[in-house]
Amino acid sequence: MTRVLLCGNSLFVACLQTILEAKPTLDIQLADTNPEHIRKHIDVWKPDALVLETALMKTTAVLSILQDYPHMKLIGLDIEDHHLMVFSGSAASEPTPEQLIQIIEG
Amino acid sequence: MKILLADDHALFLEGLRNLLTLNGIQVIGTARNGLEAVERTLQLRPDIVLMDIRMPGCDGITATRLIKTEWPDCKIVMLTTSVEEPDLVEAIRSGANGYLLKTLEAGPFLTYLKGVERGEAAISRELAGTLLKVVSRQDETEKPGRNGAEKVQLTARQTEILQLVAQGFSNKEISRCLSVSEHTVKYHLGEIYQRLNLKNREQAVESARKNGLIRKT
Repeated sequence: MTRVLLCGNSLFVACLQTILEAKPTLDIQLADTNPEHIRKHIDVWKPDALVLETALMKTTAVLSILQDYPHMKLIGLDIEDHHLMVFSGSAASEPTPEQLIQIIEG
Repeated sequence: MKILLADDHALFLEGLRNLLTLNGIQVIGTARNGLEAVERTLQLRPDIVLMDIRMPGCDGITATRLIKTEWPDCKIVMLTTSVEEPDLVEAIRSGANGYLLKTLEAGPFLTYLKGVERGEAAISRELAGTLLKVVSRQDETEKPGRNGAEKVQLTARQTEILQLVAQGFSNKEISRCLSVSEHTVKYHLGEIYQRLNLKNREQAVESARKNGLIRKT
């Protein structure tokens, strides 16, 4: 099972949750956007990937998580300009659900 | 409740369809742009259309206007990330029954939808204040001055746009020049026409000239 920590409580994140939970190979947990709460979740649950809505997070907080947990995939979704960004540097415009799952599992 | 979804964002569209279905709401169709939304709405006759604003080709506000022309009783709720005043005002003017943000939590979103089905309007809380300000500002501009004459003032942005119109720039050129959407330029022009009691671009140029807004080169 691939563990995915999904951060945020917006409608967009709730929509993502339904997509990811439909995939039986993914184990999903939710967290809010408070960086400290996210870190606690990461330390306890040790997710393989963290998916967050970039507009809800400060860039410095995202970079700091990326730095402290280099083995975890960090995926940012921007609903305004329809971009999916993998914080290793890869990016996809207008991502499909399949692309998102592929990145998480790939 | 039968819903039609119009959004060009594949992830959001599929997720929203799942979320609504899980909550016992039937999604009878989807559209990826404004024109598709118009066609499918008129064909499938949903109870509510959830319409994104920014879509390729025909945007959600234009689509709303087209649907309302053909089917005035259709309930359309804008579902967007835009908190821009021009989008909100234009959506309401186009006949939208609601304006909700994608940042809203799922629970309140579903409650709003049920309200719209009952005939209520749905406006995200953070936008209600913006709407009140717009109405209040319009009331101010409609009040006559002390001596009976209309004392109308334009905002700095409106003055800037009027100057560019007077210099012969098109809406598209103005939008590029000011780094705003063409839709925003149209909105401000509408406000300028209303405030100065103008009917068209030619009158706007004339007004700018009279008020010394055209810079001499």
